[in-house]
Amino acid sequence: MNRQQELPLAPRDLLVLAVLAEGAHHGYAIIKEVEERSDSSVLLDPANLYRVLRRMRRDGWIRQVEGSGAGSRRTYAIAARGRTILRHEVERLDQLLREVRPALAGGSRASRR
Amino acid sequence: MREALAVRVQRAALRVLPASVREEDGDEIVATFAALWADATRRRRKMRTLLRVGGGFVVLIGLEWLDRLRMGPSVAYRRRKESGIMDSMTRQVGYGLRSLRRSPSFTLSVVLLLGLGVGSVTTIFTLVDHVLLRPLPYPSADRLFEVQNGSHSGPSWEDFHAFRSVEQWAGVMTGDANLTGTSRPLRVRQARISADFFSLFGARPMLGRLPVADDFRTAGGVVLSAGLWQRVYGGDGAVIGSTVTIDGAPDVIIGVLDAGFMGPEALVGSTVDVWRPLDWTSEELATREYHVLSVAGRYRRETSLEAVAQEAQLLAQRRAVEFPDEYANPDGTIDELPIVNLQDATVAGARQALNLLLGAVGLLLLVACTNVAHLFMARGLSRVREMAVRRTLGARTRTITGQLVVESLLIGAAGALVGMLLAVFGLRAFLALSPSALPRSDALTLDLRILIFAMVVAAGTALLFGLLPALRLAGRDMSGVLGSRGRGSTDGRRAHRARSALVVAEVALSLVLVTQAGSLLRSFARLHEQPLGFRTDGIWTLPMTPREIREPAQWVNRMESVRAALAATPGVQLATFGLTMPLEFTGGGRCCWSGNVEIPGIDDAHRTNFHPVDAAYFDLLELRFVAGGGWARPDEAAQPGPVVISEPLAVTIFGSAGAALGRELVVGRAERRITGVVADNRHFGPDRPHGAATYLPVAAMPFTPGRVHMAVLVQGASDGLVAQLRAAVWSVEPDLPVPVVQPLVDWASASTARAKFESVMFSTFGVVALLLVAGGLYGTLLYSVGQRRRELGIRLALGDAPARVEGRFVSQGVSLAVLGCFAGTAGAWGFGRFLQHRLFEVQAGDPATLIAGMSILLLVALFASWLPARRAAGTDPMEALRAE
Repeated sequence: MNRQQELPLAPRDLLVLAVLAEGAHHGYAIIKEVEERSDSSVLLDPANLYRVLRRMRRDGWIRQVEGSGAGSRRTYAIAARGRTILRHEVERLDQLLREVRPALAGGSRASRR
Repeated sequence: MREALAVRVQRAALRVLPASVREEDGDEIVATFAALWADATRRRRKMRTLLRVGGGFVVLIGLEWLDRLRMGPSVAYRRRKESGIMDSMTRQVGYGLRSLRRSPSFTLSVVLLLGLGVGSVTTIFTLVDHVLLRPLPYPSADRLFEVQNGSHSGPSWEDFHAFRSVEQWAGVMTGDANLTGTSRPLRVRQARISADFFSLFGARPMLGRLPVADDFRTAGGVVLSAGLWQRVYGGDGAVIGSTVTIDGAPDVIIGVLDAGFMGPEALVGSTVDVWRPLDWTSEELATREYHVLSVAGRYRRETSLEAVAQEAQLLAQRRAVEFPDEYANPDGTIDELPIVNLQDATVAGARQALNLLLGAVGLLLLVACTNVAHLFMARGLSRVREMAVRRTLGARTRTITGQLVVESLLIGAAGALVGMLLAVFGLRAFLALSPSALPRSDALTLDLRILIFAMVVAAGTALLFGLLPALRLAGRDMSGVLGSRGRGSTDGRRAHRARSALVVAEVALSLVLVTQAGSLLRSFARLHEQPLGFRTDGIWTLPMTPREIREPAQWVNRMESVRAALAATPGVQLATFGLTMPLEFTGGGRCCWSGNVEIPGIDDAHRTNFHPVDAAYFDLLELRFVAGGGWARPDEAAQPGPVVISEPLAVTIFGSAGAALGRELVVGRAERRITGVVADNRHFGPDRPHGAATYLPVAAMPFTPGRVHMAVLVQGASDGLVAQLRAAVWSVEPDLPVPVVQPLVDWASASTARAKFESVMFSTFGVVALLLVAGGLYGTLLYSVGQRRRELGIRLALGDAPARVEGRFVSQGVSLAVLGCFAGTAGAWGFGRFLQHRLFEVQAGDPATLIAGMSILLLVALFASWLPARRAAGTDPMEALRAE
């Protein structure tokens, strides 16, 4: 897998992966979890969510665990590949934060808590 | 249990997504939404959920279809590794959408402005296209022509058949007819046609057959229009072969025309109810004196309209020599036979009005575009920095330009969409408001070509101005832009001047629209206030067409009994009748009897309109007598008979109204004594004085007219009045159709309807233009205030009075408006000329209207400048400086 191509993740994708990393959920639960985790700053709507889920499934990041028939609710779980991507992204963000934090510390001391 | 409405809407909305997406995730999406919806218990929460879902969905539609386009239907998703053209397009569109979403007020205003301009132009252009440009619905329509210069006689029709360049001819004689033998007597439009008429215009029967050679020999057989067949016979197929009575003579129904067939309007008018063969044996078709046939033809494929015109000219010259009495005029000219393309002949009347409207909306679009240009320039300039940063970071100019193109196109598309919506409503409103039926306005719809037209206009405007920042950026030293730290030095003097020029142009264009609206409004007001010279309130009139009466004396007796029956109706105070009533023929039309009067012994004829009227006519309409009075019914038989003339005629013949009283006039061959002189009135519409008029008893008519117009004065019209009046007519004339019973005030408002419509249209345009000007000025100044915030802060900190700062901005705005007014004056005069003939007692672009228009514009400018000026004066120096 070429890491460069997948990363960075959009905040929305990152949150969805993070939610699924903690356990399988169906669509509604994902929306609620993402909303809560992001302090309501990422608000998903069903149609867009399923677009994201569809892409992740095709790319092998997540898998569908039950309810493939019409009418029954589908549940999604993270796949090995998704977990890898999530880990890489978190590492990348960590690295990035380590690099930029000093700048903030030196820059405007007044605004630091 | 039924689903909540919102859930059903969401399910329905999924239909706009590609099928593959719908099949795969549709149910899940709806189920999840339903759960969310159930979760949102309180109303506010529901609203927010709706907004979130709705907003997300709109963006999603675009994204899903882009995917679908990119990948094809079968492979809806693949890894995002292709970086083909579509891929970069998707990215560009995505970026463009985000960029526009970041500045919602800009996006919204541009889209609305574009929509407004595009919508109004599209509306009028649709009309123009449909009415003027679309080909006529007949076989080989481009080769059809009409022989103009009025109607033609039977012998002329024979002459035409010698033309070698023409392959087929059609002649038609149209008029009103009375249809009886159904439940109620009806007045219908009848067309009597030549043998090839239906074949020339490609008519087909829906039921029965069209007339054949035998029918033309006997001049028998009736073909009904689909409309009449539905209306009168309820679409009953058994009607074929049954007998119907037209103008008192029975005839057999042989067919019903196809519903899609529209008679050629240039020849037969808008609707024809019954079609019958011409009777070639009739007296009116036998001589050159009666001009009764409208004639059209189709020229041979290998010839041209000019060839027909040449043959027509030769015929016109030849017959002027052969029959000088008929076709040569005293002044040496001859009766020409102009050959006109049938389409041009059909739309000639509407062309000018539509072109005027097209001109007006064109101006409106220009003003809207000027405003859009404004907004783009303001935004573009502030984005020069953003672009510079991106370029410094390595973006190619091409990429940035592409980005701007995509944004402009997105805005253009949205503007076109809004414009289309506006056009749909605009078209409906236009047709609902338009007083006179436009030719060919049946089944008027927006079609693909119009859609493309609107898109091109909107996208063109957006592109033109959206690219400005890229042009400014080309070949620039980036460090200069970046070094300026956004202090407004990017907005150089040149840009400022360009923006000012736009405002001036906008004001100038608006002045043209506002003065046009002003002229039309004043004209309408004049028209509305014009005293008509007769009473209108409380009077109801019944125009009718008695047809089978042959003897003048019998006509008078029978109409008198109708009058008496009407007078006996409860609530009716007075009833009268005449050949015509005031305002029956307006807009330049005159009817029905005119001729000369003379003073006995002096061979000096005076042209006049004759009004055969019942004795109560003067009392009922309250015509004002300048001298003398009308006559009583018993006096009508006196020798010499009574006559009333109008003041203008009295002045022309006798010098004054008083001098005319008691004098004798020769009318026809009989001498009559003048019993009274009435003041001039507006019989033919408020826009034209009647002039020479002669009122005489109905019995004086030497012929039986095919029409009569009854009028009653009613005390407090009741609900059943119309039915009662109709019943009164039918109690004595059971076969006489009563097509309408209409108050005279309705005739009056119909006579000013066109002026009203036009002034409403133009006022709307004017108001919109004013709003646009206000918006433009406001935007410019506000932008300028924002750019100069630091400077203003320093000035104010150094003690400049806020009032003076305010004053400077206001005067800046107003002086732009003044410049615009000067520039617009020429335009207002220029455009006024096109308007002049539609105005009543108002000079187009006269100083009063012009000054009023300018004052309104300047007031608007003052207000639009004052708002940003106040903000400038209210700048907090500390804050402005700290913002650095």
